Amino acid sequence: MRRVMCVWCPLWPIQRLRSAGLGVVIFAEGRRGLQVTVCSPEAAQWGIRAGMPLGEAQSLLPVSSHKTSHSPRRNGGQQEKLPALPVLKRADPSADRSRLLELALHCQIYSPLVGMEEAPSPESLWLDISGSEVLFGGERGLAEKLQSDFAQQGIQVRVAIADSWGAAWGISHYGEADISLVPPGQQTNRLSPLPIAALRIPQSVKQTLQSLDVMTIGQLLRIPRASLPSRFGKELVRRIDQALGLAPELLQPERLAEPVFEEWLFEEPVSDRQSIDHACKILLERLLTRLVASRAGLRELACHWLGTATEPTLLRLLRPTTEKRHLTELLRLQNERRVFLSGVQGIRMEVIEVGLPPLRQATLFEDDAGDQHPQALAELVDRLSMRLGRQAVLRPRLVPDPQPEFAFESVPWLDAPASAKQETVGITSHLRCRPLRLLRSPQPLVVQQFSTEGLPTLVQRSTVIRTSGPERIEVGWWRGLDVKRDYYRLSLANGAILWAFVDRDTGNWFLHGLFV
Amino acid sequence: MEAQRAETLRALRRICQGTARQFTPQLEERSRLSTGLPGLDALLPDRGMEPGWIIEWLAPVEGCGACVLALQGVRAALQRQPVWAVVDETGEFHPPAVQGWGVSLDALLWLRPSSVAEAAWAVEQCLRCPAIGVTWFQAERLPDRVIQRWKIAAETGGGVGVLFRPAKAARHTSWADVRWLVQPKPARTTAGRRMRVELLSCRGGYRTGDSVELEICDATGDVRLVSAVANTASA
Repeated sequence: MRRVMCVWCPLWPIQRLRSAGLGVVIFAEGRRGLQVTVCSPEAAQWGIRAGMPLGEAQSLLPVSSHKTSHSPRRNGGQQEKLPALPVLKRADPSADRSRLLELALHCQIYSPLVGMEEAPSPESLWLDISGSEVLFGGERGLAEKLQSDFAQQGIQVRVAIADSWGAAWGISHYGEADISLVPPGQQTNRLSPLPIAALRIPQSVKQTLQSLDVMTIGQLLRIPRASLPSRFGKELVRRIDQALGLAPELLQPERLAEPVFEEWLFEEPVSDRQSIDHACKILLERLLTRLVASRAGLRELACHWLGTATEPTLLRLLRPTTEKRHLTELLRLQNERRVFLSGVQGIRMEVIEVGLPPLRQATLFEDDAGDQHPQALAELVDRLSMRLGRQAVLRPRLVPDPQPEFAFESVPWLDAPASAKQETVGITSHLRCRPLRLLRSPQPLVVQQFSTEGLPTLVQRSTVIRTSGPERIEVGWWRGLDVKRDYYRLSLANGAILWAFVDRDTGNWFLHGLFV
Repeated sequence: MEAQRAETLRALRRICQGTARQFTPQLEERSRLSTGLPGLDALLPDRGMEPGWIIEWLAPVEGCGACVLALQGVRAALQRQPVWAVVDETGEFHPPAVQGWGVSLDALLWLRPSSVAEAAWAVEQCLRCPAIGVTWFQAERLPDRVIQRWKIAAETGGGVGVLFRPAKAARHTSWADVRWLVQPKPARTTAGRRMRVELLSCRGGYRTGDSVELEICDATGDVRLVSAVANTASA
């Protein structure tokens, strides 16, 4: 019979971050700005709760940075010591997931089939322990061993073993003991007293059931089953069946990726460029042969130069490929600028990331493709990124910031690949009053003559024939330096149009751009 | 498009019937690219540019609007090839202004090389790529052979190269297919600017020396041909 263990790490984002004795408050962008998503018990003693706006949570903490403080709300002035001030941290779901994945892979010493729960923010691991419990002196022995193993890593867990993953999950989360063993076939009895939330049902269904005073799974099971789908949806019935072991549940185990690499060892250290290039070519061929056999494309490659202190060569591509010609050219581009201070004893070429290679023909008719040269573009971006550096091959994005310097951000093309089709662009007319050339930083403008209104009339030895403005920008106090500028468009007699501003604090004029 | 599909289906049928013959689809007549400005198109042979051309814009001073004029042609060129490369060695290109003139930033490949040599290499790579519709670059002085290489690269890739240079470069010969000289003129409105654009040279020697007067209105985004009718007020 199949036996499944659920290992739940309560408040996982907190446990991952927590340093001894300190409370932690984790916040993230919510519907109404920054909100507390989870907080540790120590932080909860300050009155902080999940779902609370971050500003409100901060207002509950004293301004002073004393390790302990006194709460003004407690016991009418009676002095009571509170724990240390909690640390505020931004949520990092990907780091939480990665660490949990590490733990899942670590748990393969207990079972060959281990995985993470399927949830946006997973906190639990599942282990298929059928047959492996005998190696640890039974199910309890296995659970205790795993719990102490996690405790040594500073992680508190609650463990449940049952016939189904649904039952194990519910009992680990809502059961009384830290270790719960459900004998085979007994999950209905053990689940009955638990709240309906133990069934992993949607929040809306849970609220509907609670409004009908159905609080426990036992109460829910007494309702005629035939009436449940029409009243509460099919999801509820599916979850009940999964918990009772009546319906199968697909569990995706985590597997350690097989490292894909090739090595070439020279008989003696080599510094000849041609020999190195030739060896690289052979290694690349071997790697590609392996990848093509598994229908994978190369996305990232590392080339280690053995026996030297030279930094490894890293190739990251816009999209996975198996094109030997393209990869060889990229390697050559990197290697021709590389200086080997000592001879290379060997080369180790390692695949870091793979992906699905592009289809040779996506549609029957060429005109359906929309983007006609995706491969040519990808290869160009790879070449440019390799030679100029990924930070020099950019895709700009508008940012809603009135200060011109911060009105856009640049993302490397390798991180933000192009959409297949060109999006329609809304012409934002106000942006036409921005110059096509913006100086890296505003340059002092030498004004030879001013009008009676204090506007420049002679600039750079050229008469100002027209001035339009001002466009007042007063912004940036949160960045530290308050920006107070009045921008003018100065048309000079020589035909140039300048974008200049006067600093309202100092009265100095600066050139910031040119309408080229 | 329908005709192209029908031709594809006919070819597939021939292959399926085992009677496939080698067929060479007739080369399409090379389509013309508009400069985005009818007044300038009228000065060019067959009213437009050819894919694979290098266009040179010469201006006596920086900031007289040559880039805005060149920008009008970018939209048309991007309909054929979807990406616009800007090789910006100075790092002073300001992308938000581009969006103001109706070109999507999604189409923009913004390159910031650290030296002139790298910039020249990047321009050549972009011109050679069939996915790049337009490649922009600004340069003070360039060896002649560099532009010659670009010319060959542009003909291979089928895009258009747009090069901005100071007006003093007009004294030297160039491998560019079209050379425009922009001369600023006093504008009549506060939101606009006026310039005279002269065709210095064009492949085929078509109407060389002719010029038009254009007015850019920043408020509406229009680039208008200024009427040649005499000003009655001053007459």
